[in-house]
Amino acid sequence: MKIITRDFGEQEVDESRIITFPEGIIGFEDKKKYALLSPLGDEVFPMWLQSVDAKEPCFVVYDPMEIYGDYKFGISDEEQELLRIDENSPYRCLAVAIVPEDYRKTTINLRCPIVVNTKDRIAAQIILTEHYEFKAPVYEEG
Amino acid sequence: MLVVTRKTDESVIIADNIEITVLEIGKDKVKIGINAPKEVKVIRSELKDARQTNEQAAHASGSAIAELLKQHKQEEN
Repeated sequence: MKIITRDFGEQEVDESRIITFPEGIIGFEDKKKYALLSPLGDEVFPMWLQSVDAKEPCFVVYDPMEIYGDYKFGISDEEQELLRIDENSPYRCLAVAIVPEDYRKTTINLRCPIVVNTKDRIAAQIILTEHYEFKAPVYEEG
Repeated sequence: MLVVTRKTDESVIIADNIEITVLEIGKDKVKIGINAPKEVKVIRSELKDARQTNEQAAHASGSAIAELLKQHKQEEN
């Protein structure tokens, strides 16, 4: 299917690769379907989480484990149910970035990761009880 | 900030119609109950921060995105 993206014009996206957020993304609850675009090459971060239904919202996302190796968190029973995952399910984690004019000041939200059930392509943004930062630096130390 | 000390099952009342009760005191957390009129919105403070952070994230400028892409493409080469 063709989608209109915020940053890359019209793009062709395989329908089977659309990710569904049953509860939307926090603050953007009305948008439930997103495509994960990799403009820098297959599986190369940062990637773009683009709403399928409209140009916006669109989020730049990173793999938080690539930047913060010891990053880890628990997923509550309720969230596991929503995502239809258990300890053995394949899932991946994305961190939403704020990209300012000076890219070196880019930060990612470690407190509210997006967890994607990669088998069923269901995702949710969860708020951790662990006290990670909402704005953790990507390219330079705090 | 008004600071009051409360024990389990004790409460405070705000503006006559909002009652906040301490239900349980654990080692490093407390469970509180809130009785408020339906029109009073109660959210965990993290949710407000989460919303604001997402809002900022969704508003990257075209030039900031272009610069980020340029930097990463240079890195590859």
